[in-house]
Amino acid sequence: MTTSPYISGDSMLHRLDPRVKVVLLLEICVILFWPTEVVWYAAAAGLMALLLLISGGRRGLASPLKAIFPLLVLVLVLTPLFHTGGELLFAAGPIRITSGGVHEALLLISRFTGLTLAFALFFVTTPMRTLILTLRWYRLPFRAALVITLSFRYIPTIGRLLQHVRDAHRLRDPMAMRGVRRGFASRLRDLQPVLTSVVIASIKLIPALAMSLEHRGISSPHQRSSYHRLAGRWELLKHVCWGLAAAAVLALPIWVRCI
Amino acid sequence: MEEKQYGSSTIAMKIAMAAVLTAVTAVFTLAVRIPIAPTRGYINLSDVAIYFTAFTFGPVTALIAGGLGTAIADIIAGYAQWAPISLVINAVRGLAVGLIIRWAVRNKTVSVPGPYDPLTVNGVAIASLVGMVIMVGLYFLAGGIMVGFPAAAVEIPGNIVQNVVGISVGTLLSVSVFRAYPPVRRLSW
Repeated sequence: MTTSPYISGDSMLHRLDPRVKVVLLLEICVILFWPTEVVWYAAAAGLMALLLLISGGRRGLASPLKAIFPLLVLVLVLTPLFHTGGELLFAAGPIRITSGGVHEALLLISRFTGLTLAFALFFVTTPMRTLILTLRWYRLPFRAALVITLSFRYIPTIGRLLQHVRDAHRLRDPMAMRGVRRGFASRLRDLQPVLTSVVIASIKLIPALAMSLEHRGISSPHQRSSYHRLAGRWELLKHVCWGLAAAAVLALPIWVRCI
Repeated sequence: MEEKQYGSSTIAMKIAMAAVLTAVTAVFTLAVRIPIAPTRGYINLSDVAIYFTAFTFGPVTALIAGGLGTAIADIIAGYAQWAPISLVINAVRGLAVGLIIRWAVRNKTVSVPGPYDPLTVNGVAIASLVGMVIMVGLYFLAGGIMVGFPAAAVEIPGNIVQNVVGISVGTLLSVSVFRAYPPVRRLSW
């Protein structure tokens, strides 16, 4: 089971310090919700798409776009029906499409696409391990970081466990072996024993994990385990300079609006 | 060698519980998808994991596992833009459902159906209703802000179906686990 959307590479964004990337991601979120012209939202989405193409290749760009495409179609179809302001463009019975409705639909599509691509860009260029170190740098408590790290460690284990239990149950079910298709309720009923087995096997992992954590000094007042630290001040300062330049460019729509 | 009896009292045990149940929530969200024929869509079992955790392990574990598990699943599945929203909504839901169940058990709102079932019928009903309102309402609000309220409204029926499945399968799962593995009663947090 894949546990990270990270795509390895050597692009500028791959090399940019993750602490700076977190701030830039927040800035993009603010910009995409700042009241401004739709063209700026579209420009921000276009910029994110370009950066994603450079950093993650075609796969990196296509995957998030494919995931949100049905929702974008829904927004394009439904939004104009509920916004009737502006000039009338088309009318058929009770359906009235106006310029205000089309404008609103385009605004929502640009904003959501920009937001999706910005998050995808962040996670495609940042390994999970680095993300946790970044959260620690931003004062996430040690125990909270440990819970996240351990859960990432256990996702593949429990995923494999689920697959083994499913396979074992399927072997005992002649209908499933013959590939007979079943209804929704039947599938749910069949799932119950599988889920019970997986959950109990997972719960049994807890004491062993707790014991190994205790051996590493987690419950003791003198803590032994710790996290690595991200690169020091000078390295960070260099990246902050790059980040400030990027932030100034990204904030262009806000400057224009203020002027 | 004598096996040490673990309860939920130590810090290490609490961290282990939260981590493993977060992983269970993420796996249920990512790996188990049941197709719905009429809409050609599918439902995942994140709600099953959240209700199960709240019913079995209490409010704090449900808060952590529900919020973190679904947020991690969103990131892994390529819907990272929903991760902060899922983190907040499912954490709040897990906490609320867990607190209601704990309150119902302490006040014994209805007789306990079996020797291993600390769940109460009234508690499950109230907690489920509150959980459903929190999830459907907050996702509608967040979806409305992100993609507009008409498009967000389309998601409501799917979310209700997912919640109903989550409540029914989660309750059954909790009862089965209490019966098949009684030591789980010591792990409430």
